[in-house]
Amino acid sequence: MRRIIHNEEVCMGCTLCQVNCILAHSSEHSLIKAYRGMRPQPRIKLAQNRPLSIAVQCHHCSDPPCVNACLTGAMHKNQATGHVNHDRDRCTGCLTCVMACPFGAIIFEPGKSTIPWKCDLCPDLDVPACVANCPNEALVLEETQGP
Amino acid sequence: MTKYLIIGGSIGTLGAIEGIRKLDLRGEIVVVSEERQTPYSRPSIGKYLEGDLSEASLGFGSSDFWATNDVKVLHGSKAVSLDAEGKRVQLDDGRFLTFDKLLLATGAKPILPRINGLEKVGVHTFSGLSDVQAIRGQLSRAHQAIVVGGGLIGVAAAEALVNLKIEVAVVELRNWLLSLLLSRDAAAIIEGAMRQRGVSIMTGLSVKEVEGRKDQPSEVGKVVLSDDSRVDCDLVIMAVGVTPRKELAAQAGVKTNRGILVDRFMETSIQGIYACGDAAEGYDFLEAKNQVLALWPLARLGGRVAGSNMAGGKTEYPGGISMSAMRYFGIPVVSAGNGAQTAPEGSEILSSSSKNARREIVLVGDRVVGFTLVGDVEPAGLFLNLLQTRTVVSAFRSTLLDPNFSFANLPESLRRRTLMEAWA
Repeated sequence: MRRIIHNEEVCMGCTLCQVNCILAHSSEHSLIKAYRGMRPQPRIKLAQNRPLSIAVQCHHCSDPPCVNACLTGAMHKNQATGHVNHDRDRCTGCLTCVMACPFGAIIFEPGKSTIPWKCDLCPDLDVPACVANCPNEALVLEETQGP
Repeated sequence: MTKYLIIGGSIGTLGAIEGIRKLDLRGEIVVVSEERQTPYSRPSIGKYLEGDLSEASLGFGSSDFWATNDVKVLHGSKAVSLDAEGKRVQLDDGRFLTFDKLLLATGAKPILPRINGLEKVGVHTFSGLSDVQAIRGQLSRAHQAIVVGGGLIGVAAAEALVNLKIEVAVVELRNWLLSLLLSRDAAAIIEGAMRQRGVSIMTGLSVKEVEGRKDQPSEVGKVVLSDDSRVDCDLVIMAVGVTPRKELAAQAGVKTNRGILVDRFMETSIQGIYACGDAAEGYDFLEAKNQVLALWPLARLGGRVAGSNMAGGKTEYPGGISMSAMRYFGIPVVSAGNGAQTAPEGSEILSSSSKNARREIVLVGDRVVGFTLVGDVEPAGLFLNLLQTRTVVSAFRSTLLDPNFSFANLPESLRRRTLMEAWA
């Protein structure tokens, strides 16, 4: 399966991963249009504790605490791909996944949406947008055998 | 071939089947479920009542879960007796089912106080699909509801009813709502939001009696409170708590306390008989003792551990703690472990507040033993991580109340450990 490795020594905290995440998940795929109107939420966020910067995103755990805790079954692991997927139609926004994630990688900003967001590994792209656009190669894609 | 028998058809059972099938693809699994449908998200029945979720979306997991896992389900059946020695269970239709390994995932049932009038039309509990379906049937003529009990279930019921434009009053025996989960200060934020939506909150009171309508005595008309005041209503929701369904176990000589006692492998006092979920009294790692923790995520986890051990594995239940995440009247709340209201002696409480937001961290020595986040809950998982790993926080304790507390604030050793466990 796909795995995104974060190399914290070389992350500059430039937030381009967030910008490109928003862009990749916008319907227009245009930077200017994506930032107008209904701007998508980034599914990756920058955690900073200067001088440390870490791009935090879902790590698609092998035995995911968010899936095990989910009250509705919205958060589930695809056994074929190994990806942790989030079915937004089934989600009630109870936030149990936010409580369960040891990385704090489920993004929930009150007032913006009642349903949280998480990394989907850009299933339609050859390389996830955050990795492809990380200028310092702090985010690296690793493909492993099996789910 | 091992014969597995599971009594109960909710999330603990799903977990158990996951656990069994990881190790044993051939064994026969039979599930006895009183429910007429496949498992559904019990905590979401309020959303279903409001019409936010269809019955299909309320269903838990994939609809072909039973078939995929080669499970035979007896829907609408009830187990009435257990013969532990003879390894068989009798059903309400007289049939006997034999087993090699048995799981009691019988859940919990609502507690009903001994008061008069609970049989009247318009009195409901709020724990399963049949409850909300019955409430739905009466919505057209319901205008004023009394919710008895201001815990998690009571507040969720109040929210669904308010959203359905019904006038709601909540009667709570303790001095504030959600008192098992939240401190008075944290609960005050939720109570404020409830009052803004027109809910009246009556604390320090209980209900003595439900009275019928003058013109129709078999239907709810009023409740009498412990201070002898009377409140008009046409709907009463009883939400004073739940109690483990342990009758089957107790009758068969399985050791019980408040719930069915289980060891760290989820096995009861009788070999080959396991229990999990709301029916069981399992290990609480924070209190370092067994106690009933009727929580959805723990039921699934305990079920998985039980299933794995029933299939010959040797999996230890890591233990649970009291924890809950929910959105009450639009306000996100996460609490886990000890709150300021249950803080053990010698603990220290760090807290910060702003309008509609509050953070409380309870420390014993240099370790987190509980936290409550109201409003901004995004870092909740990081605090749970600190609690579960018993991390010493002395080096960064000044950052615990920082609104921007993030993964980057965790010590490097914990960051590495978390990542290694994620990919193990």
